[in-house]
Amino acid sequence: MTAVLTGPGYAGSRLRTGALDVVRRPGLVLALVVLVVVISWAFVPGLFAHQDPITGVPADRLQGPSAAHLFGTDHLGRDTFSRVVHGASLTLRATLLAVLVGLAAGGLLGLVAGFVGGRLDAVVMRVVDVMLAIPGLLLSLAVVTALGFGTLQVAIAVGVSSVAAFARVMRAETLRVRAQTFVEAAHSVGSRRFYVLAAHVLPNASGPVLALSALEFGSAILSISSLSFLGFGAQPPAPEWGALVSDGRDYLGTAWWLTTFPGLTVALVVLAANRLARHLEGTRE
Amino acid sequence: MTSLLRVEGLSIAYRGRRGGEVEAVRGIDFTVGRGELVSLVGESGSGKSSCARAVLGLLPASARVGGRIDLDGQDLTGLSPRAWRAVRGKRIGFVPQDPTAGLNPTRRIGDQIGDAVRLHDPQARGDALRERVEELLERVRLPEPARRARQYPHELSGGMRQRVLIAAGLAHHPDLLVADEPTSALDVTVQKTILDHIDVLRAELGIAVLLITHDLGVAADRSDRIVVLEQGAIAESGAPGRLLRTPASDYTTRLVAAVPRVDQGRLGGDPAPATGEPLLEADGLSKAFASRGTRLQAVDDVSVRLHRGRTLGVVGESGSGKSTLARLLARLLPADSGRVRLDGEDVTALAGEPLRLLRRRVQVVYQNPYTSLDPRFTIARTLAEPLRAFDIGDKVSRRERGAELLGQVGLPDEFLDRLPAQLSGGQLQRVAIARALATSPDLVVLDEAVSALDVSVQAQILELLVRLQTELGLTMVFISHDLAVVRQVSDDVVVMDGGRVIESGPAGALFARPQHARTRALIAAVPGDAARRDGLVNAS
Repeated sequence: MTAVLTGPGYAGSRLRTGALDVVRRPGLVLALVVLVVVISWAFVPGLFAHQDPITGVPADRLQGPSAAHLFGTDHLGRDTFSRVVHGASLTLRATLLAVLVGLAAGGLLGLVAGFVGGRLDAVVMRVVDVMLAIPGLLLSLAVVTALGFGTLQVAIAVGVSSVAAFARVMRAETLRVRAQTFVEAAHSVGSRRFYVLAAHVLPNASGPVLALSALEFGSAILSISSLSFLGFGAQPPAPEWGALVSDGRDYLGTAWWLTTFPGLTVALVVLAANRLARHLEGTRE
Repeated sequence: MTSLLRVEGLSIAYRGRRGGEVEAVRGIDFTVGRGELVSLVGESGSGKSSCARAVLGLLPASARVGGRIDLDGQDLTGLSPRAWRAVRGKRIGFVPQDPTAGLNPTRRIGDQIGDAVRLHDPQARGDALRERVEELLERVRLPEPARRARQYPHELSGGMRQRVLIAAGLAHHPDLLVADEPTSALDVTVQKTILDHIDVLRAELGIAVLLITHDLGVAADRSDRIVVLEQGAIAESGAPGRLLRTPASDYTTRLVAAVPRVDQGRLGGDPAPATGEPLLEADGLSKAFASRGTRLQAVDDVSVRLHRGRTLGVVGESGSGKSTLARLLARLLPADSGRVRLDGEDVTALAGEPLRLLRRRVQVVYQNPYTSLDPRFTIARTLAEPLRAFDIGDKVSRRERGAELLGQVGLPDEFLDRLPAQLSGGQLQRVAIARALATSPDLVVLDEAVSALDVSVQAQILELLVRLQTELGLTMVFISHDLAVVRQVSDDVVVMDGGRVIESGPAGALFARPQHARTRALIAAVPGDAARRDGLVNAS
């Protein structure tokens, strides 16, 4: 239920409800604004930052935040704000890929395990239990070590570490839907198993998993930034959020802005994604 | 007579999600005297449950209430939620519809009734509280009250659970008991004992009862007065005898006609003769379910025979094994032993693709149309599904067939593009029947296909089934707990109890001269005695 006001005497139009909604949930609106801005960074970085993110002006190196350089400059005189804006594309693409990998692989595993049941279900779910027992970042580290360095590899590694969570949620929902009469009715009219799975079970069971993927988006950004921070992801001079924080580490004593602003950006985007995910979860019937 | 409850000009409107308002109740008046039983009767959507909630102060905040509700001179409208709590439970008791949902499954019966007691009597605890609880359980005639108090809801039958809820409703000697469809989830024999018991309580304690029901048969048997609601307004009200004999409104006339009756014969014309080879033959079917070490023999050595164009009625109470039998006959469950033959062919051992191909010839209609249709499928897609499964026709011809099927079940073409949520229960069940007919099956198994529907809708569906049988030469297995319903459609009847067939034979003979004591009890429990008596007066 989005915005059903139940106070007595209220009989408003949808528009008023919408306007009130903004007042009642400033957090959600703020989260949306943050996400829209960051996504625009990814698509048209030139619109937001006019300085070159790769080649710096050596004379301007290690300057603090000012009107000319909002987030200050690094040791090569590159504008940090510009690097954050241009880095959005790389980070968000990696995040999207990671979530898609988790959603597709985890969703499929959960769906098949829940629908087929029996021994297959037991085997798949024990594997999932093992995956859940290993801390996500550790698992990503192991996978990325095996796959090699690079943004793509990091994205896949982070995706793999979220497969277990997706599989669990999908299986639970599949079990719920499978027990409903309309699924038995579909079998009883003669539909083939695959059709029942694809046409009846999947669409009715996918809601929670989609809400989870919004939530996973936030933690994937964090994981990808963490792996980049550790040096597994984007290689210099490509700007990437985690790598930016990592680069600034050497100047932590003298140039606090190098770590603080990219770090804050990551934190804000993660919080915004979580807020939106919570909202989506709430609106699902 | 002094009236205990006086409702004047009650109107209730619900605010919709999009700002609009839906009027559920439009200015109704009625009174309930001390010790009286007044029934509010109407179909789904007639506003009867909204009335009950208004009297209990349980309407959601999105409801706008107008008019006046007086209890013993005290105006209840406009009470604060806090003040309502002082009235509810103490002066007005409530018995909800679903005895399973009404109890917390994780807590003992005694504790839950204890809560109801302590709500208005916080001092009660320890032995005194236990005594009160046991006294209440005894008053609702639960055997071994001390033991029941220590049990959990799942250890009790549906009828017992309903008694527990009545006990909770009686905790503070209320003047008025509001019972919202208290027996519609129960078997007929259980329904009879519960209603009998409410009568006894009225005599013993002088409690007034406001009974909400969709079943005019039930209302006519028990009420001092009946208020018939139609779309939020009173169609008519009066004493049951007068109402049944000379209904003043068309709506009441329809409701009276819809009361199913065991003493009337089959609807429609003569059935097909039972000659030649039977279409369906089942011999010595058995099925047991094992769970946690206990073994439940759901169906025990059951044999049935059904000829083409005829209907086999299977009756029994919950747990008698009739639904399991339906699933065995439809081959939705494998039998432990015995065989099922369809048109002479042994289909007992079919599995995989041959079993799937059998579905084209045997179709099933389920009890609850709200859950047996995929909420995301349009009606057209639902109706096309069986055709698609057997590669019959193409997209265009399947849609045409869908329109044709809708026509057969009396629904307009434009329903094709609707979703189940946009249809009523009766319409949905028509769609479910249409889906079952899509592949022109030899046999249709209907498992409690009208039990979830209002009495008047039920009557329409039964008429539809009989008409379809005549037009299409359908062969049906009709499972129901309701003898009156089975009587109206069946040619042959099987009565089940405890997994076994206790009596079987042609419907006419079986209902006229029931041999088994259980069968007689089942027939006696069918509500609508008053309706029958007065209906007969009317007919003569």
